[in-house]
Amino acid sequence: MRSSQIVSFLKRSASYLVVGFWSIFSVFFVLWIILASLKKTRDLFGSPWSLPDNPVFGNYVKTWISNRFGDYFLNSFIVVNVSVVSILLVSVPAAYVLSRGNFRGQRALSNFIASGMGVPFPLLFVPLFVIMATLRLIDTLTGLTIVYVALSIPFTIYVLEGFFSSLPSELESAAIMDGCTDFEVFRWVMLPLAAPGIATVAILNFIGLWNEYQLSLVLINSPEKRTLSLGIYSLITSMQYSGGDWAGLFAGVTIVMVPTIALFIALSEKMISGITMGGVK
Amino acid sequence: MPQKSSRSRLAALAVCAGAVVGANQVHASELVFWSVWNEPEPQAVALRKIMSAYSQKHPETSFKVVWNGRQNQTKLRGALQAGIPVDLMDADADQLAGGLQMDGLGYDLTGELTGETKSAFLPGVLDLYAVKGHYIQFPYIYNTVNFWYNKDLLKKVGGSVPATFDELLSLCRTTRKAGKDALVIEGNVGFYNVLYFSNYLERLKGSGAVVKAFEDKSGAGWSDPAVLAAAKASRAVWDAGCIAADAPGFQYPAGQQTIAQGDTLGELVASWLPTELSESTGKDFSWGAFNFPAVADGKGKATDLEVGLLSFMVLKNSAHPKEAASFLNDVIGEDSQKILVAEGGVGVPRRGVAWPAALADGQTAAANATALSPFGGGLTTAYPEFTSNVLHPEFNKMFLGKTTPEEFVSTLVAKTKEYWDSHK
Amino acid sequence: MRRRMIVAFLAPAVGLYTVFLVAPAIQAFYLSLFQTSGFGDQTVWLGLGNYVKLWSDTVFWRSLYNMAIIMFVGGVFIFGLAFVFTMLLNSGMWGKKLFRALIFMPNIIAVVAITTFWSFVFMPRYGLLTSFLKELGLASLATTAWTAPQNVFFSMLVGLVWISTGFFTILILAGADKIPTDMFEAARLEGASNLQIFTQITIPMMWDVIIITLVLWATQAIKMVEFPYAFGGPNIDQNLYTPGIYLYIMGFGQREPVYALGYATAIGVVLFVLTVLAIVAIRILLRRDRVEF
Repeated sequence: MRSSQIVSFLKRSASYLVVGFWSIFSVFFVLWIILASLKKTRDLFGSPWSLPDNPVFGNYVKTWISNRFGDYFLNSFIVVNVSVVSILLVSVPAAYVLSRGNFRGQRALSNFIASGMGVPFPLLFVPLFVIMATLRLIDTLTGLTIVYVALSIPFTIYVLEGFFSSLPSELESAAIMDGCTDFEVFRWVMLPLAAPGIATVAILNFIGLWNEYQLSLVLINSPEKRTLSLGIYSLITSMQYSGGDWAGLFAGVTIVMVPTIALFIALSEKMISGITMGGVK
Repeated sequence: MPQKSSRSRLAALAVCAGAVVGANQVHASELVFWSVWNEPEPQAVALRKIMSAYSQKHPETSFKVVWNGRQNQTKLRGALQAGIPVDLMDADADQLAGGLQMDGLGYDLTGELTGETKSAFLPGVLDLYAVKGHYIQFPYIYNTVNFWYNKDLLKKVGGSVPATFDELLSLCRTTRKAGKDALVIEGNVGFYNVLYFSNYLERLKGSGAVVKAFEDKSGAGWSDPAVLAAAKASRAVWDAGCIAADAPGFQYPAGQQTIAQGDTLGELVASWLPTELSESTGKDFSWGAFNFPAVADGKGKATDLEVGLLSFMVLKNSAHPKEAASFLNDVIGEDSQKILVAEGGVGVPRRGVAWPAALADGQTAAANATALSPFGGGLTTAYPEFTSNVLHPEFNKMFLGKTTPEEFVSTLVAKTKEYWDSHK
Repeated sequence: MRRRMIVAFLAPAVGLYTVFLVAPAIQAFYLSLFQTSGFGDQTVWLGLGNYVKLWSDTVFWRSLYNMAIIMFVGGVFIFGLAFVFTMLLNSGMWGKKLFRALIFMPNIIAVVAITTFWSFVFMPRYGLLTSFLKELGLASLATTAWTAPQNVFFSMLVGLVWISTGFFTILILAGADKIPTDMFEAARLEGASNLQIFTQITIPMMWDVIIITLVLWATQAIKMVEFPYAFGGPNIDQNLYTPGIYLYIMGFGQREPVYALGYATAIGVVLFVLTVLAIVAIRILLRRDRVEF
């Protein structure tokens, strides 16, 4: 072997070592949560790092039934998916126009929307409640979805603007020369190019909303309309006054975590790689 | 089966008739109740039972419950602003006192409570949050602040329940010799740790001493030697080896779990501890509790008690305040209180109703209480902002050894003066 | 672009944003001029009183200091790691997608699970770190109380860096992925090293994305609540306060029954202003002509 080959082999190994260590820690963390959910609370605290002697699946049964995790799961699934699709439908065109359009007040409007990222959400609890009550949307999943969409707009548009504005303009002008309309340029040229960015914000929004609980806590009252993360939240708060069922909590966390991981892997594979292939050529 | 179908038709008729009668009755009312409990919790199960028993006795009253969970009061803010009607709510008594009650949004229950109701309460409970003799909140769950400990372990280490603070310190040494720790803390829960300070100060100066010390607007209330003594006593607990040296690193609930593991004898905390640890201890764990012991030359009695209550409140703008109050008279009734104990697993404020077995010593303390003050001595309720921003963090710093008792006292003096200068 | 398309593309987003975010935010900000609990109609006009009080509030300054540490110290680690991972993953590593997913994974798990995990890592006696250090024979380090008040902030920061690194790695990777692959191939043919490719091609080509991620980090750091709050437990130590946490504690009766909604709102307004300033500062400082290719 030539020395340069050795160097590159060493370099390569070092990269795997760094990335591998970080990734293994993530795996370790997820496994720890799953193992914790199979222990008794007592053993969880007495020996947090050992394998469970007798795996207890009762934690899952208890959590699933007494906390209606089945219902919550469906609610979360619907609300989050509808929200993410709506967020994209609303934000992608707006971000496109804001970054590639040419009109007066463009910059100001873009800043106006970006500034929404600076609003601390707890301040909106009371006014939003009043608005939703006036519109008779309080305690409805529709109302929650609308709020999710509206509050995700600044972040989404801000990120997407960046993706659109960094796209090459030659393709755009070429398409216009070819006789494409504005809309066709957007739909068939720019949209595919921005696909990695769109997939990224879709995933980030999905995960953010899947774990969101503060707004749903304020806007949802009926137990049958709760979301999964609200279910987790009520498990956590039950620790005070009603018994510290930590193993049960981890069972709940696992129930929320597993589909998210599955969806994340499916989404990131399909959306990022799939669309990138079609787009960037 | 013709018989059965005709019977069910009859039943249907009866329901319709009932509905018609109900509609004609002037007093028919649906009480909207926003609750601090989550639906699956045992306390919620107990309340549901109590409400349905009440509706059976009083068919004109029905309930619509929203199980909000712990952020009940925050959610109510929105409802109040939006004009959504809520008749009844419950919350932690301290939270209520500093929230809705302080804003005058509670309905005055004084005239609605029957004589039977008023005399049913354990000593001092109903009056604890009364404002100038008016009852705004209605306690229905009772937690006492004591040292909660493992009776079996106490026997094993050869110790006995301490009657004085010095005996407590010597119990620590006995326990240490047996290879165990006497006490444990949660490094990140300042409002538990401050119990050493507030209880000691109240033993020295009598119940309510903490609030009194703060209310001297010059800050000089804290210059009383008793305050320094209480601060030093909190440190003495460490010096006597009561608490393991690594305990400041315990993040809730890691500290209290060491009791369930059998490594620690007990903790100064409220009677919710056995419930919080029930998953870890199993059913056969022998819980005991003793009051914060007496201190030499103290004005306060060892039977004075700090408590943590949960209360109902009828909202001022309720359309059915009298019906709601009548329900509250029922909540303190013997049947309802027994349901709370049996289903909810909690201590209750009614005289003579036995608490769950693990909490028996708490009940004894409550029945013999000579004076009550809220959890942490009452400053939390009366001056939450100061407690949150100054007392708890500064005490915790001192307690965990970052500052000295003298520095702690002088900070309190300065910050109290500052507080009153800006709140004229 | 035609006017009709501009309007049609913007209207839904701007409409929703205005009605459900801007309007309630203005309504909320107005409260910062009052002393109010938010429960009833008992409000006292203070003008700028809440802001004056904020100026001399040592707890608030402490929280701002923590925020700055999170933003700058945490930021250096997060972005350093994110760039290292981007560079390594894009150097033609096998299993890129798998590693990307694994690095991101902590972000999809409920914060309470993460913080419980970390408190077990840092726990005295039975904790992972303690037993690990004991194995290595570092007895003095092993007895360090990592979550005691003097250390808790930096212990929290370790966990925070861990999560956020995953978040920003996938954003930066997505930015790097849109760079045409033939540019890399051409550079490799000319014998450029990975580091050269990274500094000469990747960074300039994704400058926009870098600015975006920096702005996102700045806004996240300024509004930071959830992770340190959950890490701090039911009675969070002042050493862990961020302005967002202080807002929550002052306005929402989280710890003690403080319901100073007006004051909390003033904190919120300050956070809003800080965020806007940060966005503007980053945009101006890092402004460059757009790279075209």
